[in-house]
Amino acid sequence: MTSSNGWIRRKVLIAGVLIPLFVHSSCYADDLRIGVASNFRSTLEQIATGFELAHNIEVEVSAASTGALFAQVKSGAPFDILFAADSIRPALLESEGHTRLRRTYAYGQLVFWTPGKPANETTLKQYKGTMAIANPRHAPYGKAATDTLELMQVKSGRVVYGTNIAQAFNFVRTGNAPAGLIALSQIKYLNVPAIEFWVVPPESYAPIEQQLVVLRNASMNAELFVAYTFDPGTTRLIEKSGYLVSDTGNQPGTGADR
Amino acid sequence: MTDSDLVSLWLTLKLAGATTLVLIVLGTPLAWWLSQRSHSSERGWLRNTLQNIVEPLVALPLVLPPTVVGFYLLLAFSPNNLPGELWQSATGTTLAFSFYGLVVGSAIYSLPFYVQPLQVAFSALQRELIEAAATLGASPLDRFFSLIVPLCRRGFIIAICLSFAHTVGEFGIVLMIGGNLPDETRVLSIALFDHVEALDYGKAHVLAGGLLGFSFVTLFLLYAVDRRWQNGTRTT
Amino acid sequence: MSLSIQARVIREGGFELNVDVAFPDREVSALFGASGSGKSTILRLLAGLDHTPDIRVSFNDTVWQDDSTFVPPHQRHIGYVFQHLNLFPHLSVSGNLDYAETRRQSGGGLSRQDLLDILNLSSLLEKLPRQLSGGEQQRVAIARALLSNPDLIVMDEPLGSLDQSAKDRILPYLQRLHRSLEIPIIYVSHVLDEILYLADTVFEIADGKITGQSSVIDFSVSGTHINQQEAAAIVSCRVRSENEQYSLTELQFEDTQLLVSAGQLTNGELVRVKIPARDVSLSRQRNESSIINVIATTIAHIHDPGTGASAVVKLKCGNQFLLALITRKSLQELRFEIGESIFAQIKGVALMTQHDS
Repeated sequence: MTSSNGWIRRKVLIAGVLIPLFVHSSCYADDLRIGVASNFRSTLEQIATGFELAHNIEVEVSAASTGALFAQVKSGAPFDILFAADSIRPALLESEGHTRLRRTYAYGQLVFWTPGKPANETTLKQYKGTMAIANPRHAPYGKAATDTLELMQVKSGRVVYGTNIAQAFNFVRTGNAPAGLIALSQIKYLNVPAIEFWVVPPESYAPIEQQLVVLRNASMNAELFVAYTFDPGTTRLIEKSGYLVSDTGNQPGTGADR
Repeated sequence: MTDSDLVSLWLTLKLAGATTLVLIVLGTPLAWWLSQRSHSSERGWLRNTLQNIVEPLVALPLVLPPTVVGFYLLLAFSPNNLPGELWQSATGTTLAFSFYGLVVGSAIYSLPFYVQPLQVAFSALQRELIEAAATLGASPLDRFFSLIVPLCRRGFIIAICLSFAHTVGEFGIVLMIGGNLPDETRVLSIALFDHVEALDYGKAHVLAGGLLGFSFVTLFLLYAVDRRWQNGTRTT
Repeated sequence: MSLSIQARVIREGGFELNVDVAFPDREVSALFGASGSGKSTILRLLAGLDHTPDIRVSFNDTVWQDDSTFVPPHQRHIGYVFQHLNLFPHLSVSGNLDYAETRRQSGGGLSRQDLLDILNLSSLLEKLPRQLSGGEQQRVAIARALLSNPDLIVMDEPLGSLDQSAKDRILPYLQRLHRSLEIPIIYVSHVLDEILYLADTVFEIADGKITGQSSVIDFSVSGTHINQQEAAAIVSCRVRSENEQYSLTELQFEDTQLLVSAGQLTNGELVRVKIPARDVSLSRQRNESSIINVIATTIAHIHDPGTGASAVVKLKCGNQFLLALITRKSLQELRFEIGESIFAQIKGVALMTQHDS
């Protein structure tokens, strides 16, 4: 794949978009299909509703784990945009030539949650019991959690892994683990009392960068949706949901339009 | 295979073995009880009604997604609820994220694979054989080991192999209640899932291929044993 | 009386069993009745295989079951022979016998070798049940039941699943056993022939009730079954002498003699003889005939069923009776009358009780 044949590629690309349209009559050229990582789903649905009202373009949202979405795209699932929960898989998709745009849309925030007990920096550092976190091997929140535990020199009893941040959250919510390092977005969603959680300062861990990609064969409306996502009204909504959004949208790792 | 995968392999075998043992001890009497339908309508009414309820309960894991069982176990194991509270006051630990928790979950989930083949074997037993043994002076326990076990050996072998293999293949419940602790709850299927999620397809292939081979060989041998047995009883 | 049962049991479908029986000691007691009359139910209650409330079973001063007691079957020491073949299929013949022998709770009784000899099993020991004929399997089952050294034997139609030739071969074994044992045997059958062959006392049962109890000698010549083709009189005789020239033995039957073709009997011994009704014909004169046993009798009773081809005439000889099966045509033409003296020509005489050879 070189840049010299980009133009030809784009011609082929258009054919690639159009031909399936005759086959799948249920798909309209104007509709958008968006795959979203489960943790961002409820926020994205609100964004999509606003977008539909503003542009009169229908949006179809499918939520799954980032890994599952990644596999689906590689085997040809007809998504226009993918909102991933990390930056690794978007970068991978880009390097394999599946995308035409990659951009960071939010930064996850880690919180220490102890239901029924006050949480703050001291209680985290002195915590000795079972701690639920996401699996650091493949979940960005998990990596952030292990970073934090190391930096703050927490000697908790044992650390149990949820497959993803949602499962780690459930371990705590059901009471099987008395504490967890989980996502602020989950805390917001559940309306947890402020005294029970403590937002870990972002300097304590590598950024939990959540990136979106516009896929190579996407509808021309995809870029319109991306622009809507970075509209100030929308970024306020994302922040309210428990994420950080950079002012410029030009965070490290943001890909360039081709 | 990496060292941590070897640990997972050992853990998986340990879990399948322990689960099968639990099922032999608890599932065998249950299968026997289910196979003994009462024929006298008056006194057998209560028993038959109970059996009519317990039988589908045992079969439930066949149709339920493991996530249903996992979800309820997660709630049950929580120290906020009675079963988890009792366990914690007795042992000082939680059932979730522990090997024992996995044994409980796997035993529930593999229960029909153990109970059903045995129940079929017990039901097919000729009643008069057992009565003959009784009149020859064999006590109920003696009859069970000297007569019922050898006569139902085919059912026992199928039940044991199926519940062992099914526990090796168990994933959903372990995922939900295990917490992915090496040495304790990271069984092969979870390790495989981790490799896939981390995009490490090389290691994933080793485990997936291994599990596939193991399951095929188990079933192949099971069918072979079954065929030989049936031939064996038909001809001399 | 050693074994007794009182039971009033009502089963689904309205069948009611209502019995109060005491079985005689050291004898073969037969329960004779049609299928469904309750014979097997009684055996199962005796053995404790069915735990039905409100019945009472006792044996030799021991209560096996009453309102507060239930001795489980494995503690009753009963040798039970079932109608259906039920050797343990995974064990060889000797394995089946071992199963009983290792669980016997007292010494004595017939030894394993005795049983192998009596039931002729020595050549079958290594075989598996499925390699045996039905008759062979049932002989093993009988040996197995006896090897547990039971205090009581019950047999529930033990020949019921066998064909006629197997039955004919196994009956003599049963009779030899009976004389080798000193314990009561309860024998259930609906086949008259077996009852006549084996029983000492007969309990007739119909619709769940005991309708009669008599010695086999009385039983053989009374009741509705004497109209059956298999009907036969059982009579008691004393051995007098052997006639070596013709290989015949002379038996004293009341005040006359019967010649039978069995040897090696002891003088003065009491034996039981079966005289089938169809082998007896009647004549007003003592004719010259090839039939050697012709005895003078009196007509005691005439059973004319009113339909069919044959009728039965009951003949009195001293204190015992014979039966003669004749055609109703002859009955009409010869106009027999009760009290009339008549000669009975007996073609077949079968000795029931023989010495072990």
